[in-house]
Amino acid sequence: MSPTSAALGGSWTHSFEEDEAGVQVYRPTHSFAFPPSRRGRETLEFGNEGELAMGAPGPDDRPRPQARATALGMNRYRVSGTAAQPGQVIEIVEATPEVLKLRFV
Amino acid sequence: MKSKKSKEQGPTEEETTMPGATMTGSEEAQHANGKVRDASDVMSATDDSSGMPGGLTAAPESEGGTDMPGADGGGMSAGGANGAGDGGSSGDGGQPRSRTCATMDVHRRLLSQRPDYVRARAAIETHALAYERGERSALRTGVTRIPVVVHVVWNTASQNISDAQIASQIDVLNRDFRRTNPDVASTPAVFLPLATDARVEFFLATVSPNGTPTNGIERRQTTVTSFSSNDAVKSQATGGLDAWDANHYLNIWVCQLGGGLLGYAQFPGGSAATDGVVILQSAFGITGTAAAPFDLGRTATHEIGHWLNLNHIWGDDGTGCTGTDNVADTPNQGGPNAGTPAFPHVSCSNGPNGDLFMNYMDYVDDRAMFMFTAGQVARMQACLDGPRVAIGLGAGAPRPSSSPVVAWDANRLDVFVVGTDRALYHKWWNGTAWGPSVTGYEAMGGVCTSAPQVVAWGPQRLDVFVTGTNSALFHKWWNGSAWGPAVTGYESLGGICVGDPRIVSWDPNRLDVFVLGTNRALFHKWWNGSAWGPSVNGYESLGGVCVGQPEIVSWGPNRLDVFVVGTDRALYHKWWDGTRWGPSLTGYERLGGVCMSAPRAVAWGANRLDVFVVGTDGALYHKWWDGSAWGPSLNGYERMGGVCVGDPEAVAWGPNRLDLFVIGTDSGLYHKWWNGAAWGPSLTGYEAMGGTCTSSPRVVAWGANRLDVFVTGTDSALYHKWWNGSAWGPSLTGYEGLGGVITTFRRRREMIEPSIPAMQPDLTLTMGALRA
Repeated sequence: MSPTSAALGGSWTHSFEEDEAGVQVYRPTHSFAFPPSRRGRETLEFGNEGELAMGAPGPDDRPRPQARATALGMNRYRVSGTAAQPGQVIEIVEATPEVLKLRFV
Repeated sequence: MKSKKSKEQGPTEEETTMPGATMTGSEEAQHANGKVRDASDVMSATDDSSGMPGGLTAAPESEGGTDMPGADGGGMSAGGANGAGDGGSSGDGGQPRSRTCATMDVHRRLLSQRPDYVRARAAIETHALAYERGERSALRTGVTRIPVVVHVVWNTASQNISDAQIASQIDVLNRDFRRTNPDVASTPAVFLPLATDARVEFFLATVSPNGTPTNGIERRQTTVTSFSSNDAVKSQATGGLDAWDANHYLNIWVCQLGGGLLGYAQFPGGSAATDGVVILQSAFGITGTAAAPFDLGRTATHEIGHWLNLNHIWGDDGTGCTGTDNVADTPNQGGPNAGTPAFPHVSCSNGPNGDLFMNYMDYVDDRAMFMFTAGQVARMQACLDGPRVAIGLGAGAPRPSSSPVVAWDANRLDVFVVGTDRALYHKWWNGTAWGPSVTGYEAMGGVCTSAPQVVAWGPQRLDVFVTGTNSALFHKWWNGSAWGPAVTGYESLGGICVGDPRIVSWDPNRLDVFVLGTNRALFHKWWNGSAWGPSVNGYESLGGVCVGQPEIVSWGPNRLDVFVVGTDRALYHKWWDGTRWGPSLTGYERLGGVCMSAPRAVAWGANRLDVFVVGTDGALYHKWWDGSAWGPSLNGYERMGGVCVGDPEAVAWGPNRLDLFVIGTDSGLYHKWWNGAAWGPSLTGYEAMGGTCTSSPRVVAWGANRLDVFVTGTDSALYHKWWNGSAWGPSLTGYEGLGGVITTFRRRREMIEPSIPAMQPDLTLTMGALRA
C-alpha cells in the first residue's frame, strides 16, 4: 500500500477556496469548518472496496450523486462517463487525515 | 333526529338512490334509478328566448351607484354575550442522531421516490412550459399571500434566532417577490425591463394546522450540532421539527447547517413531509445572527424560487452552454457566478450584455442579486396554478360565503341541519367515516328559525349562525376541542332577522355577518378577532330594501362583495374595499335583470366575481366581474338555459373553474361547469344527476377537482354524492343516504315576499334560553 492510501476513505468536501492551480482541495466533510457558500460544494465518498462516489450540488442546492469512479491504481480513478463523453481520470496527489488534493489528469 | 330516523326513514343502505325511488311514483323511480334523461329534455323545454326577460325594462332607478328603494336604518336589539378560550401546544425533546452520509441518503431517497417523483416532475414541467410559451396564462390574477411557518431548530442559544430576525426575513421576501426591493434599481439598464413583480407575498401563519392561534414560529432545542441536507431537520424523530401541511403552508426550517451549506430547497412534486426550504441560521433575515455576505435575506429568496419551481439561471449543466433554466427571457449562461461580479460578464457567446448574474437564481452574494424576470414569474405562477394550487387559497384568499356544509380541510366535511324539533344537528366526514355514524347526528340544541349558516376560518374551526324564535341571531363555535359556549348553547347576537343570516370570513378569526332586518334593509356586524362590532347586539345598517337572501363573497383580505335583489327584482351590488363601502354606506350598484332566485356568487380569484340568478323564464343567468368591468355588460346577463326550481348553487374548486348545480322541474339534480375555456356539457345544457330533491343543493369543494353535493330527499333525509376527480360517487345518478329527518337544510323556497311576517313576539322560547 502506498503511504497515502490509508487516508482514502470517508467523506470529503470541496474546499474550493483553497484550490491551487490545477489542483482541487478537499477537506473532511464532517470535521472541517467550511465557510458558508452559496455555491454548493462537491463531495467525494470513498467506499470500502475502493470505489468512489462523487456528489455535486443539485438544482435544489443540495448535494446529489453525480458520478461514480473506479479505481485504476496508483491513486488514480476513472470517472464514469459515456461513450460519447468518456470519463476523465483524476489523481489523488496528496492525502492526509486533514486534506485531500486531486487533479484531473 | 337520530332516534326518529329508524321509524321514519326508508333508506338505510349507505348507497342508495334518492328516496323518490321508494317513496313516490314509478315515474320518479325510473328516473332516480338511473334512467338518465337527456339534460335538455327537462332543462331546456322553454329555452328559446334570449336575454334575461325584463332585464332592460324593470328599471325604475337610475343605473350605477344608486340607493335602493326605501332604504332606512334602524337598530336591532336584544340578547346576551359570551366568549371563548383556546389553547396552544408545543413540543420538545431531542435525541442523538447517528451521523450518516448525506449524499447517500439523498441518493437512496431519490431512488425510492423515483417512479412517482419523476412522473410528477414531468407533468409539472409540461404544465410550466405551456406558461413559458404563452400558451397558458396565470389564473391567479392578483397577489398570492402564502402563510409561512418558521421552524427554528437550535443547538446553541445563539442559533435560537429572534422573532425580529424572522420578521426581517419575511419583510425581505415581501420586497423581493413584489419587486419593491430598493436595489432592483441597480439592475443594469439593459436588463431592468426584465425585472418583474412575482405577485407573491408571505406572512407568518396565524392559525396552526390544528386550528389554534399561532405566531407562525415553532422552536426546538436539538442535540444535533449541525444538520446536513438529509432532511433530518424536518422530522421530530431525527432532532428536527415536523412539517406543517405543505398544501397550506410554506415550511421554512432555520438551523445550523454543516459543510458550509447556506440552504436547500425541495421542488414541487416531492413528498409533503419534506416540502419547504432549509436555511442556515446565519443566512436568514437581515439582523441578529445574519452574517455577511449572506446577510440580506436572499438565501431564502433563492430557495423559495426553487420551491416555486425555478431552476438555476445557468441551467445546472456545470459550466456548459447546453443547459437551460426553462425560462426564455434569461440569457444562456455558462456556469454560476459568485461574489459580486462586474457587468457585463460574458459567457456562452451571450455578449454584449452577458450573464444575468444579478438574478436571484444565480450564486452571487446577497448584495449582488436583486431581480426575477417575467419568464421566471410565469414559471412560478404556473407552479401556483399547478402543483401548489392550494397554497395561499386559505387565509386571505377568496372565501365562499356561509353554507350549511363546510370543509375546513381536505377530506373533511361538516354538515349542519335543523331537525323536526327545530334543533340544530351536526354530522361530519373525517376522511374515513361519517360521524357520529352514517345516518346519525350530533344534537346541538336550540330552536332554529333559519337554515344553519356555517363558515370555517381555519382548520378545526367552525362558526355556526342561526336565528331563534325571537328572530335574533345566535352563534356557536367549534374551537378545535370544544363547542362554545356549550354543545347545545348559543351566544345571542341580537337583532330581528328576516330569513337566513349570511357570513363570510376573509381572514382567520374574522367574521362578517349580514342579515335582513324587518324593514328588509341589509344589516352588518363583524367579529374582528377580539370583539363584535359595532357591538355584541348592534348592527350597522347598509340600507336597501331587499327581496330574498343576500349573498356575500370575499375575494381577498378586507374585501367584501354583497349581492341582493331589490323590490324591482333587479340585482344590486355593494362592496367593502378595506376602507369604505361602495358605492356608499347605504347605496347599491344596480346590475339589472329580473331575478326569481336569490343570487349566488363565487370568486375564483382576486378581483373576480361570478354571479348566478334564475330569471323569470326559469333559466339560469350569469354575469361576471373580470377585474375591470361587468360582463357581458353592466345590466346584461349570459343566458345559460334550463328551467330551475329554487336557488342555484355555485362553487369554484380552483382558479377559472365553476361548478353549478340546480334542481330541475322534475326535482332532479342538474350540473354544469366552466372548465376555463367553455361551459360543459354546453352553454345551455346540463348533466342530469338523478334524484328527487326537496331542497336546493348544497355543494362544497374541499380540494381541486373535488365536489360534495348534499340535498334532502322526499323522506326528508339527507343525501350525498361526490365527484372524486374522475367519477361521480356512488354513481352518476345515485346518492349516499345520510339519514335524519330534516326540516331546514336549504329551503327550496320562492323568493321571500315583502309581506313576510316581521317577527313573532308571542314566541318567547329563545335559543338563549336553551343555553346549557
